[in-house]
Amino acid sequence: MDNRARTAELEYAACLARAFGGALLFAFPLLMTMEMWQLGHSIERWRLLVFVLATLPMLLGLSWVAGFEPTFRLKDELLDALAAFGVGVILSAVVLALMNELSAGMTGGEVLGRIAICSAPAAIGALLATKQFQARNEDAERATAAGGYPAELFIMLVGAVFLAFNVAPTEEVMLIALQMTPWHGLALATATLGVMHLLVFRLGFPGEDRRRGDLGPAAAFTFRTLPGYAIALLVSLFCLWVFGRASDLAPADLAMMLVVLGFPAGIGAATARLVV
Amino acid sequence: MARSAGKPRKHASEAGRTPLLEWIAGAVGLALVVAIVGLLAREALFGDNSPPDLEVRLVEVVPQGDGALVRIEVTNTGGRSAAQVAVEGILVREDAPPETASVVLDYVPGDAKRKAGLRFSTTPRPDHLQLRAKGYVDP
Repeated sequence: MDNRARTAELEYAACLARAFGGALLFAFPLLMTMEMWQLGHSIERWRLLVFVLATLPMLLGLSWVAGFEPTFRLKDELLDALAAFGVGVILSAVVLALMNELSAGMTGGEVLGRIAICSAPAAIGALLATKQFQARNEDAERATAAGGYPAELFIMLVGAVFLAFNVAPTEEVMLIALQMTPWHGLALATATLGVMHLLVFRLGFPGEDRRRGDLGPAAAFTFRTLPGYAIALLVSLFCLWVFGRASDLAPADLAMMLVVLGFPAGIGAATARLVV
Repeated sequence: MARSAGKPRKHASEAGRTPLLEWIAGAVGLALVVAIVGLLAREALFGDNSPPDLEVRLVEVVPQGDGALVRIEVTNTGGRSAAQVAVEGILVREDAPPETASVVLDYVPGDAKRKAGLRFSTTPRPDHLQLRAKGYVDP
């Protein structure tokens, strides 16, 4: 092995180590949430399967805008996405085992469910954090610029998934929704939209799309804030569906839960640029 | 995922050779993806989806201070999980009114076992104990 090859191996090893660190950082709130362990075995298996299958293309897309390595080649993106998934699974298994949440007395299905449900956020964290630690904002901006509008919407989607997923498994979403009157719901939805709009298009964040100046307030609201909120609500619906919390609800109750979960999801979408 | 030729390719030359470790990490990831998706799909397609079937078994009776601890094991032989499983033990005695002890288990997953304890004021004879699961909630 020549010197340059060894350097490349070492660099990749450092990337992997960062990936584990990032996965831990991002998955902590979920690994230590009671509902996640319980959902691990109580969720219907096909929902969990859909959830894992939906994670994979998202990892692939994410590795494009925020990969382990500053490359733009399908092979590397595929490898990065797979490696991130592997990191997520291994990290979830190790941390859950350390906390005795995986024990010998459990059935295979229980162990599988707990690892599977925790590994997705950990994998997203693995991908995001390597990018974050590498501080390659220019590369990411270039990639996003190349992807254009769809890439921007995709980044909002990732941000929404990330925050919504931290909140969605908890009972509190349902409790809060039940405590709110329809007026609260309307006020919260309006406030979410307002805060999103301010966060993205009025306040400047480092690493934010420089071209925002191209859009007037009305156009920015129509083409960024509104689609961002729509994405946040759809992500919320998907999360609630995965966790089996969207079933057997009156439409008004479901709408209220979407507004409640849409709050963190919307903020996640609006601030996604900070992280992705 | 086709890329247009106009995309930046600044790093393509730098990363000309993929590190061996990257292949290994990718392969491990692929193996885990296949394993998890495969196992979930198998459970989704052929898994047991029957309602919880709860059975309570006596493990041991441990005399303790002013009474006794009855260790029990709750087995769910059904496919689906049960939440808030209410378990009751009734100690039937000839010389005194029956004594009841009960406990609620947070979760008993499908095909799994959970252990718990019931407390009685006297040390019961195992054949005087009636143990049963009274009910549960769908998670």
